[in-house]
Amino acid sequence: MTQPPDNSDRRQPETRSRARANAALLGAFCLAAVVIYLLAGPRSDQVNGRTEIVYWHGWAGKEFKPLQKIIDEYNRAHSNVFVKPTYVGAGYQKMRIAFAGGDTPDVCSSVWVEDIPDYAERGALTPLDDFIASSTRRLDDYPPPIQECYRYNGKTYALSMSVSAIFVAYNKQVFRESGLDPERPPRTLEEFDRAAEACTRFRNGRREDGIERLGFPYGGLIYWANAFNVEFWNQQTRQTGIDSPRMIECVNWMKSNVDKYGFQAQRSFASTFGNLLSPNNPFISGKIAMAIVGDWYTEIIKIYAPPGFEWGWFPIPAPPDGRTSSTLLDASMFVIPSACRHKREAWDFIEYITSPVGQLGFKTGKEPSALAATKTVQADPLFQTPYWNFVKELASGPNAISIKTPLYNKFLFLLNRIEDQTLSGALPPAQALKEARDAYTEAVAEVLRK
Amino acid sequence: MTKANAISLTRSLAAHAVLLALSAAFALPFIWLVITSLKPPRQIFEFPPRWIPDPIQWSNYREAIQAFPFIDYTINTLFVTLSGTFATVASSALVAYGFAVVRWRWSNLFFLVMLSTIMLPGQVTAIPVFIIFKQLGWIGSYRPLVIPAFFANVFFVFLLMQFFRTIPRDLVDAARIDGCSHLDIFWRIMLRLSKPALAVVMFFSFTGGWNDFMGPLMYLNDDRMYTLSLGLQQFMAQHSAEWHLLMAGSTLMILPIVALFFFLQRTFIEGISLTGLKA
Amino acid sequence: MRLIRQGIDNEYLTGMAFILPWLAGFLIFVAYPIGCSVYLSLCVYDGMRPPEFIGLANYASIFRDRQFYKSLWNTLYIIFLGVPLSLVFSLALAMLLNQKRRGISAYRTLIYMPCLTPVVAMSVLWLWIFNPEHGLLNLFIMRFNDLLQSAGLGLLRLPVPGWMNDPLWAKPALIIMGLWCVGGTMLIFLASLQDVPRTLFEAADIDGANWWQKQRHVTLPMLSPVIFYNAVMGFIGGFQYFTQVYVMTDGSGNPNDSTLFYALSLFNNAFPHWRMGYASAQAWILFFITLGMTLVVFRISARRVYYHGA
Repeated sequence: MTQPPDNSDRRQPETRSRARANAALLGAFCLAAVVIYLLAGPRSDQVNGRTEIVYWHGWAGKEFKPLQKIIDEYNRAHSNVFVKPTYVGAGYQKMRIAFAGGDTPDVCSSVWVEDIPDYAERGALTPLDDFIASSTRRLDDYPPPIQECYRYNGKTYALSMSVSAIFVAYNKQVFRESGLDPERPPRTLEEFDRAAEACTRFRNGRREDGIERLGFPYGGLIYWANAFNVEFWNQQTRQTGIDSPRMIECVNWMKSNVDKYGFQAQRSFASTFGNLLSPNNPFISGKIAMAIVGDWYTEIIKIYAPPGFEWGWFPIPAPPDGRTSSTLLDASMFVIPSACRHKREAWDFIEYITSPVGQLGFKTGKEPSALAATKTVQADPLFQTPYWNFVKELASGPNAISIKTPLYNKFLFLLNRIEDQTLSGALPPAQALKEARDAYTEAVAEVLRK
Repeated sequence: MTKANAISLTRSLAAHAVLLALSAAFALPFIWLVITSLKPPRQIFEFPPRWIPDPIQWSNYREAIQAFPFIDYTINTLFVTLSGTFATVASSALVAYGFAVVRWRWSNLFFLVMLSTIMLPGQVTAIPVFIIFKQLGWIGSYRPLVIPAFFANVFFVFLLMQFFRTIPRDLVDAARIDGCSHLDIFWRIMLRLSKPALAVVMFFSFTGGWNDFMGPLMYLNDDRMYTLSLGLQQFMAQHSAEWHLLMAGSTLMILPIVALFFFLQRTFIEGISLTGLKA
Repeated sequence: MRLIRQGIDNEYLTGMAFILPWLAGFLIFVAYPIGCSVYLSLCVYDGMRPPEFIGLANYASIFRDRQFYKSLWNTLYIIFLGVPLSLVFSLALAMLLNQKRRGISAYRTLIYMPCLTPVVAMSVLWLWIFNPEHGLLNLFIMRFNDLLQSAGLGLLRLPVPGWMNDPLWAKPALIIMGLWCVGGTMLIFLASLQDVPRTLFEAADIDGANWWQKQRHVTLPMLSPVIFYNAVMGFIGGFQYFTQVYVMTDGSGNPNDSTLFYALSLFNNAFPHWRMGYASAQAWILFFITLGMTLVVFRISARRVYYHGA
């Protein structure tokens, strides 16, 4: 049985000194708390009464350096504003939480083309039309498909420095070795499949010893579905074409190609691929002969490929009734969140950074790493090479598309799932597509209820 | 050599063989990290991988350190980590004592409430938590990273409770009769008899703070205030990743923790805990 | 009588005073977010527009979803296989490392190492180890099979799995990866082993107990509080299993939903898929499952955990 504690007035001196020591310890703990609290405070900024423009971006390290230079110049030239860039990481989870918490930056470029509908639909972005109209910037200086990237429901929400387009890259040397003409890339889907087959090689020439080189790792449903003329989303009817007959055709085509060598064999071969951003990138190391890439691929080749690496490019081939020269456009979009308190200054910065200064200045080497957004800058001698002419034509063509599907991440997640389920044979295509459609429709219903 | 000696020698050899084999298997990731950190970029994702870099590229380390303000970020990380560790260990030990040793009505209920707070995944409370910090004006400072540490960590509270509970109750009761207050017992008996447990909690808390990535990413907006884990992101650009530098930076970053572990685990030498008191 | 009452009341205040740091933190930083998530689980909420109340519709739609059961199954799989395995394994390691032997510090440090190695570096290594064709593990298995074959035991040959590529083997692969990182659990056991009094062993020696009997009747009971702790934390952590699988699969759940874990699906809904309301409902279902199972563990262990101090 516990004894009740002593009465305080009868405490012995020893007890009292212990009590004092204890009080001192607790006091020290509280004092430490206060000191740490003070030390942990924010650092004051040297903005000297200038309006601070908080700018969030997703570029790290070397990629950010040229941008930092442009921002520094801007800050030097403007005595009333100060642009402060902050890296928000690759996952953009910070952005979503900060937007939800009402702590948004003034300018943000960590938004992709496909994210625009999701942010715009929820009223999180400022339309830029009035700013553009009152400035010297002319939207018709952008090729129409690129203008379309910036638009949602008739309003312009973003501008960009550059734009990327998707196409197929092929290894010329492998083509030559495989008896294909390296200067005449496949044009139709049939030619493409035949080229892929011709480039595939087995170890010791025996199928059962495993794959040594794959012509093309069939996958990337979103790009092929686009070439097969699948309508991802119809804004009028608010319906998805994810389970349309065209989509089933696309999945069946892909599956028939995968089945040539067996799904498991290809998957285990694919698990030996090195990271895309490394010299062991399977396209560079010759493990695959063709790959679906974007125009930034020239940068990857420049950094990681050995000297003399020969590669070519051609548009994603389409079936006879599909979209020829189809491509998906993407870009880091400069937007102004609606909660921004300095919209005029924010626009001024966007106008500057997306002007020719930014379009030409944002590159790590001498050559550009992405296609400039405006026609004026695209006319620069830098973009007059065969490669950039090809990209320019592709990105301005009638089948250059920017995705306007709500809940794009969910959509992409479902497409990946379809790919996995159907190619492995776990589910028949029709069932997998129907399930995906139901899941997508249910999620989208939440978006559309307002 | 006597027979007994021979047996003990064989046993010792066998024990070392087992320990060596296990250590080799467990050290693999770290060895791998160090090897990768010395490779030229071309060899990092080679398949099948090579064990010995050719050439051994020591310059990776120099480059990694020069890529960002390494010293400043180390100081920032140390500040966040040390203050967080101090705060967590002190507050968690107090709370653990309150639950494990002091006997009071409702303590079980409060304990259950405390334990249940970690059963809800953090993703769904991230937004309101952010809003609280915003209301307090703490966004952009270290406060969201260190101040909550003063309010105890559930994992550590529970862990310390389990250790406090193994300390004989008679010891507490006797001290009470002698006129010791609970603070006395906490300070003079419990903490002193739980050194291994405190070392573990301290170490976990230190490692957690040192490696934390999401916290600093979420709440810091000024690159002068960045921690090492944020600094390492420098090497992961969208279209070019410098794996060799990332690995070199990571190796440097975990070395202090390895050293800390090495020294802390010396607290765990069998037989020197105050067995007389505890039995 | 009055004195005793007073004593208990005093202890009540003392107890509250000691837990005050947690209680204050709970009221300031935890209670409001938890309350929010309860409300949000009854709403359509995308993390941007104001939440709209829809009653229990989120819960109803979760229970209708086939993927909910799939992800729950995957999660329970990894808990019921992974938690006991890692407990036994880390306990064995701790006992092995609790010796006075030359170089024991180095051994301990090396065995703890995987917990310190950054996940990025680990994932590159894992991909190699579990590679179906040239992976270290399968190479080892194939060697072993050859050995069996030559010894005439061909029937006992082990399967050579596709690991992360095979819906059947992806979860076991993840469990094996988890075993590599038992250092934390091991460290707790190691600390706890310091509390096992020498005298008890000596007494057991006098009674003529062998090694196993000593472990069974002395070490295990003395360790039971931390075994209990590690089990409870293993459960709670297992339900929120996320980081490792996210690194290995990019959160896709492939192959064939075999790595779609509960927390993964929850994360996908919370941020990438803009369904915070739905994710909150998922979180609360998870909460009650975890709470229920934890209470069962508490009930079962009530008589088996031995508190030396109690």
